[in-house]
Amino acid sequence: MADTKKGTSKKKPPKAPHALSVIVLVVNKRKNDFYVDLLQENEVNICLTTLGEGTYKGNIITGLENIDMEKSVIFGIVRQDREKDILALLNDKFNNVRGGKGVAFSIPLSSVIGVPSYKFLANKEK
Amino acid sequence: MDKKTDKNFEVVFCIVNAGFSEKVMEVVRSVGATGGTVIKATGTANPQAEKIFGISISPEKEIVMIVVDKIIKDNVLKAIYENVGLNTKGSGIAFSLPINAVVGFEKAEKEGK
Repeated sequence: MADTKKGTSKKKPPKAPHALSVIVLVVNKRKNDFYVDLLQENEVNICLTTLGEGTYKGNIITGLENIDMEKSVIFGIVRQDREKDILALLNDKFNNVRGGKGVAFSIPLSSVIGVPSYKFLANKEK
Repeated sequence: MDKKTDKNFEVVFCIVNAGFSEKVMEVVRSVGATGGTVIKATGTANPQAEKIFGISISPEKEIVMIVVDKIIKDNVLKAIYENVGLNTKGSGIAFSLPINAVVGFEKAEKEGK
């Protein structure tokens, strides 16, 4: 007979040992591979790339650098303890790599379903 | 890393019918947002719900992703709702997500991107 007692406590899902974040990068399309490689070298095991378009509103383009409107939007998932280092590294590349300017930000991830998926995303075998 | 990183920013995602991203940018710029990125997408809708509610959902969509200062976030969402919301031709839906940290944004702002 099913337990119909009110107030029966439901099992809470387990809390993961390492919190995860989604890192979103918006970079020039021709630098997509460069940044995907960079993320994968830094424990980002999954990257999703989609095409985007910048919304730059300028009157006159001055200087030698063209404004590239075609963008790659890269979504990656990483452990939160790696987030700060990765963003600092990205900032360094934005400032020092020719044509490598971009924006990156991180969004906290609240839940993941499946322990194997979690291990893969967190890049932790245990 | 930018000094204004720690949780002063949010990202607004606005999903509108294709062709309305420029309108979105126009209205969000009027309330202080700077630049955004437009992603083409395909929307999915429950055909039964479309029949029941008498609404036809156009599948071709554009997602406009805008990083904004928390101070103006509510104004941005309100501007989107009033100008390209569900009861307009744009059929827009907007939501915001918190950002832990951001880099490259202040430089992009200064360059007018």
